[in-house]
Amino acid sequence: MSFLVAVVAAVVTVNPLRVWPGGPGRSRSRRVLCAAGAAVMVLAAVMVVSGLSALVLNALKISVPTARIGAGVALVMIGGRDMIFGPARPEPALAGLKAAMVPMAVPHLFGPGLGVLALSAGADLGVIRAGAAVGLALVVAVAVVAQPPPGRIGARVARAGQVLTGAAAIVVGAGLGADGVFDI
Amino acid sequence: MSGIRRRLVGAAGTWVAVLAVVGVAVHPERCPPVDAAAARRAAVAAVGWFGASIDDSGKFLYGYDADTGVELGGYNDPRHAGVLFSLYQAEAAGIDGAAAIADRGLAYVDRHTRRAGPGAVFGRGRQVPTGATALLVIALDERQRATGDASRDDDLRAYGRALLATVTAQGAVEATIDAEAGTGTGTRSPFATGQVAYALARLQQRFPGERYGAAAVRILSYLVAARDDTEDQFPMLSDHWASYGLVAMNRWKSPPVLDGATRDWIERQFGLFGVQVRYESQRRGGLTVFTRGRTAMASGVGTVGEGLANLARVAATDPVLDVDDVAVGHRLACVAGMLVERQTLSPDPFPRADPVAVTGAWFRLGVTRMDDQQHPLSALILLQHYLREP
Repeated sequence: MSFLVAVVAAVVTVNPLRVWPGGPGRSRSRRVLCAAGAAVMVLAAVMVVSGLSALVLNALKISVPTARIGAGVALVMIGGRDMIFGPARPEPALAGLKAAMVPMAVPHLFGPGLGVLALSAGADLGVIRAGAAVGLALVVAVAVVAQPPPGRIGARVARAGQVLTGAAAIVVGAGLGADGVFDI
Repeated sequence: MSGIRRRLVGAAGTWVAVLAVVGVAVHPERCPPVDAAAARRAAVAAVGWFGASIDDSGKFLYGYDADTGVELGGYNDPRHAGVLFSLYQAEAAGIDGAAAIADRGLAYVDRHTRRAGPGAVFGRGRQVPTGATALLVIALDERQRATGDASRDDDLRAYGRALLATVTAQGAVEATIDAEAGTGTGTRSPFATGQVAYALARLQQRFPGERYGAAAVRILSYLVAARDDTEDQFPMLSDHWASYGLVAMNRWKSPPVLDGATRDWIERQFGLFGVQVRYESQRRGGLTVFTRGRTAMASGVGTVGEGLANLARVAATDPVLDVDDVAVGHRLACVAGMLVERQTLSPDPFPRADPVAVTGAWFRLGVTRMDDQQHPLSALILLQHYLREP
């Protein structure tokens, strides 16, 4: 998995357009703070998972290419979900800035797709580059969520973008899986 | 249940669902520990099986059902020649007595060798599989390497002439030879191409002044660029015989320079062998029977070991090839570990079987065929060089 592929995989896994309507409240400052706080928490979690990837994969007796297949499968599932189901919902949420934790960090940003991707990217690229790839995706997500909640037309655009991103996740996941299959 | 709790339970459900599906796709890979001595002991035991299973006519026990103790019928000439090759490999690797067993098998070869067109072919019937003659060339050349006995050089040349007649201008290989005319019959087979490439590559190394090399290179080019498409091979064939051929070509006085297409092909072959090792190592019985199937025949696992070990030798001489040496090392050791662990060294599991037909063999569902010993033996001989000493 190259760094570029990891960035693309992280973006389509996070699917910022799916997350956009799920940002808490209408206040721009609260949305920015919650999204940024969530991104920091998620990035920390991703760095931990990536850093432990060698240890975890060794313990589970899973090779790096096989882990990539797993990431591909997870992306395909997440992509399918994003194509079928609606966008993230803002409620229920913890009060105030705690909304950064629920729902922004979990479940909006840090789901199983990102978890498995972090594991695989950590093994392929190392913790720094895996973290950087996911970090770029989180920056995109924060920038999108920082926008005011979508109106009627915006919601349709977001939904279409979510579906397209989901389709991209399936394509990227299939590619990752194939890459894992045909790697040594 | 509060809304927040419901939301978190839903998120947990997503995690469980995704990880469950990922768990079906991704299984632990179990690679039994192995060292060079253990691989060598397994190879010696396999040679012992051949020694115990050859009859006075020079034929080996072809197939055996250890659950019932019944010998299965049939015989296969390419596999006979392949067994001889593995035994001469064993002798060349220092397993004394292996060549003597193979030499007994030459009696069968001599009975079924015929003049055909410009050369000679080995096999029964009007149409003989090209692979039988190709593998015999490989075996006889290995015999010379192992024993220093060049008494069959004229035979080698005669077989070589017959093989040259099977190579088309494009580099494809006729899968069968009309034994009376000495010409190809217009058929193709998955492995004849690599087998003939390897045979001709060895002949070029052995008789450099003769014209085998150009045909071998032509076949290699066809293998790389056209074989899978032209012969409708899908998915791409993992070709352990071609990997032997590459090693043999590397030994020429002037080895062919690998071009980009050939390097790409080699890297894809690495991937094909690699995924087979990983997949096979995920077969651990129990529930994995439903997700991965039962363990493969030992002949198949052996060919994977042969292919990988040969490609590793090629990669060691070509710094341009983009191959992860550490991963290759893991896969090589994994194949060896699986082969050593799966070999039957005691007749106890098969109370109705003849002990000599069991000891040193590899069984799948209680059945073995002689190439279930041939390919693991060849693989273990090649793989021991990549394993740590005890």
